[in-house]
Amino acid sequence: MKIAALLLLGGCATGAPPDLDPGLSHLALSAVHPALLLPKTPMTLEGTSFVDEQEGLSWLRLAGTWAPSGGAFRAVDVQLPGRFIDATHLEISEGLWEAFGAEAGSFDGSATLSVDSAVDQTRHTARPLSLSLQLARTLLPVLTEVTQGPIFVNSPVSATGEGFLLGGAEGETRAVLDGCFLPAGQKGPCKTTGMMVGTVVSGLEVPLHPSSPWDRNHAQFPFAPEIAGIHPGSFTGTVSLKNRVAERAPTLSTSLPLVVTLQHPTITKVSPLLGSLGQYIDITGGGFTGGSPGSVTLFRLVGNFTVEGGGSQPVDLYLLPRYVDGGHLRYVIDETDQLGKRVNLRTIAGSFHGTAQPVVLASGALEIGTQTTVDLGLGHVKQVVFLHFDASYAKSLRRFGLQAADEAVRSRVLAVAQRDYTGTNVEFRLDPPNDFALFEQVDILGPDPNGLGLLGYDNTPGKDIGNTRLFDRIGGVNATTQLDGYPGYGGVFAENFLGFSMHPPSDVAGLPLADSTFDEIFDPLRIDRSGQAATLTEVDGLAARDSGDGCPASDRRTQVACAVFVFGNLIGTTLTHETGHSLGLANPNGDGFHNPGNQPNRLMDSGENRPFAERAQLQGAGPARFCSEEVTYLKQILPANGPNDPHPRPPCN
Amino acid sequence: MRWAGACGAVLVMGCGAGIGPEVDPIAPVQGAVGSELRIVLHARSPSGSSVKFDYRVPEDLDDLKRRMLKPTLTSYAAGFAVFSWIPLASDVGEHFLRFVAASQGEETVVEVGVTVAPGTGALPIFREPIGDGTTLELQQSACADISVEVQDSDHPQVALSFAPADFPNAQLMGVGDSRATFHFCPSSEQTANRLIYPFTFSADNGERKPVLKNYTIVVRPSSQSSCQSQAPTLTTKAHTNITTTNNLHFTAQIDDDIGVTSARMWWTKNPPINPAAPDLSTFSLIDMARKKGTPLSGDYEAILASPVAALPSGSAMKIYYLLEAADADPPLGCDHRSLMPPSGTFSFTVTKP
Repeated sequence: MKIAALLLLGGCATGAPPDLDPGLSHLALSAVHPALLLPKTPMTLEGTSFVDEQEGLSWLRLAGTWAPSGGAFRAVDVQLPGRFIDATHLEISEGLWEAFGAEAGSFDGSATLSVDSAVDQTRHTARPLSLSLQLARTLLPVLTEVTQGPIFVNSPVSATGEGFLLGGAEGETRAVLDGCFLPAGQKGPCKTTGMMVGTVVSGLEVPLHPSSPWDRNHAQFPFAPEIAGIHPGSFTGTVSLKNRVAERAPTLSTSLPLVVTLQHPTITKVSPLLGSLGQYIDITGGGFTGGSPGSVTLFRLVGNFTVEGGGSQPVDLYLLPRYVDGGHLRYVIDETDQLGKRVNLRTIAGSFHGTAQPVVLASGALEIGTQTTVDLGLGHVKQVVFLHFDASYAKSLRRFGLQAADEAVRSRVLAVAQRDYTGTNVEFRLDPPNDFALFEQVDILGPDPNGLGLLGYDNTPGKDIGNTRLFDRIGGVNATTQLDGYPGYGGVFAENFLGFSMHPPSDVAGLPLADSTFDEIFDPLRIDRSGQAATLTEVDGLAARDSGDGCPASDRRTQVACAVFVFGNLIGTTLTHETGHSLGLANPNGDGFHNPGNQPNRLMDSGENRPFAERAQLQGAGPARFCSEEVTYLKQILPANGPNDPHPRPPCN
Repeated sequence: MRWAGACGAVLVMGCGAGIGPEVDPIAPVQGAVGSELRIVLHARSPSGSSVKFDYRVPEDLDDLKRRMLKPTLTSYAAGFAVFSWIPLASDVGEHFLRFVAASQGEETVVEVGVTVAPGTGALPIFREPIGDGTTLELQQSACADISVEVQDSDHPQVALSFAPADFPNAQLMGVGDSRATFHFCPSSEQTANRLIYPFTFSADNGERKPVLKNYTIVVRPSSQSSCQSQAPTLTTKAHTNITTTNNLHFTAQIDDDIGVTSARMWWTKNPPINPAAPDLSTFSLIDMARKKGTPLSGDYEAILASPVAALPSGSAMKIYYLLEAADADPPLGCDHRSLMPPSGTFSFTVTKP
């Protein structure tokens, strides 16, 4: 948590609060890039535990010898301010050139990073790093090798050599192209049937980009449509390099022959082969265009679509994926495009067999690519749920004595979530999804920001019967829900489970369902109950439990295991209950948010009807499950082909 | 090493006849509901005695010290203290907290401005459309209707707009709380000149910079049956059985009213599983070169390297092939592809002498 205030000190007091962590205990400098700098080249520092200007000012000290070109060695010791980029990168963009007398030469010595912390009013210094630097006013490019042969439009053409510029403030290296392009099937001379690309003096220039960061020997440029259009054919000519640095004349390399054959756009892979609403599909191949006005690549599917359990119909669809680069498109299965208009993506699943083909448009030209036979599947709508464990949850773990068991607790929470939704198309994840544009997020927090002492709360608006919103967030604030007069902050509030104790801490409200078994489980670990928090050694190798048999225990190792099991169950069943609300439960066909009455082991009962033992899965109680009608509803809106939960269901009424 | 940091304006008052502790100024603080807010306090007593800290409850937070989840104020050595507070939903707004530093009967009071925000300043997110664009199939509809929906956790209402503003025949309809329908009906004049229409949707919650989403509509004119242009025609003679180790030549005359854009030969040595409808993904492809003429009418040739040259004398191989010519007639969607033979393949046997 950042410290929100900065202090002005007049004296030199010592002994800053031990509770304050300036975040610099792992401060280290591991690399300085690049090794050769021009007057405008920013210097990048890599390392660990960097902080922003609000938390501290960073400085780089360079001490050693400086040898100006054609001059005598001299000792140098300079300090330069660093600018925060992120926790592992700083940048120095001012003062370096002037620090060495604004002249070319070489430095040899050490680099030392220091941070003047605003948190503890102390300078923290990292271990010095040996460093050699070259400073030059300009660079002469040398080209030794360039890609030849078959390529696609926007394919990278690789160049090898020396003296390549890195782009940005430093300056830019450009490829200068001259030659002749002939459309496929045509033979020369170029002047009558093709295009003349240009001459060395007024040749077509295309910017090069380093193949890897700081690389001055390898770079590449896309064979963009601006060079020879988008139609197949062959380019025969030359390429040279030109370095452009501000306030200096360009420097040129010698040229090399360039002979490339532009191929038809093509698709080589579609992945995954089975997708559902809101899921990304990656299309790889070559010859794609996009990312600029008048330039798109369409993804055409021609063939037959067979509805699962139904008939088949011919399709000829044009879809518009996002252009990533010349070899990569990214499509998201969307209700608003032609696929979504043709097929109800929420109720229909099926398979497509036919061909996929890129259709490329750029600057008024059209090129139809090769057809590739594909078999694609459209899956049933899936609800992906991302479990986000907030920093406040981590603090609450300490109060249960389980801070060393964070990973084990999260694993148990995930296992409970997956168990409760077995047989439905709901998938829980611990990492933020990057393959779905639509997913739900549930926050696991410490205290309840509503100040109501709740264990969990679904703050999504209204009752989403049918689960039309695949993107709900149970967490943070929901202004719409507040406007409706309900509490605005949602999530699972882990700290409030301490209310099940017969001796809760003074800042946690006791619950009517307080149970002495809770204390038997957690007192051995609670520091406020004279227990001892679990250690990493005690957690290491702990086998995951699936049953409360043997809990509470008398031996330490089992005590820790039982605490992890119970705490994971408390969080897990609360989040599956709240997730159920966001999907339209309980009573999807009627009013109310909870099951009527009180039945044992029924997940969507109201909180006061869900005792501790059932939530914790102890003493033969639990696990709570969805009642039969709720399962029917969930399988209707989120059908899955996997196995059902074989355990009997409680009644809904 | 000690150094000086920055600070904001504060109000400092001393109480009593003597001089109270000197309290370091504290800048105004911002926090959010549900997130811990910490304020570091530091004071020095003129006599060097220890300093004790407390805070006074403002009127608008009169329950602050009585709450279950109350703030804590922890003192440390050398005149430091840390105030820790997790604001609740009811704490949203601006407040002034007064901290008291006391030593040997003398007090100094410092007032700190605290602003509690309802959320963490989340930006609006476009929930519809989630893709980057769509085609407008004019044979099915003259207009594109795109549902636009934005989610903003901190604001129940978000203003929607699009660019370029006032674009002919484009408008946002049915604008509600964070929802609207983008309606675009390009005229025939518009589609005669261009097919690609990039738009940008904007969501503005009035608090931070608007969030933008690019969305492209590609117009596809009516079906090929209503296209004015014609498909290419191919005229060729089927290759006959031959005994040779020379390369094999395949020729055709191809005519098109607007111009052929590609001519190719598909071939395989494996019998197609479905002879009437061969799966071209199992065929090899050779571009045909125009030897004479123009894209409107020309003689084309494909050359296949001898498939039997490396085989023993007397070896025979059956070749299955077909020829293809394609055009890309404007507007988009009027492209044609002609095959010869129209269905199935030609076949012949080549034998090594």
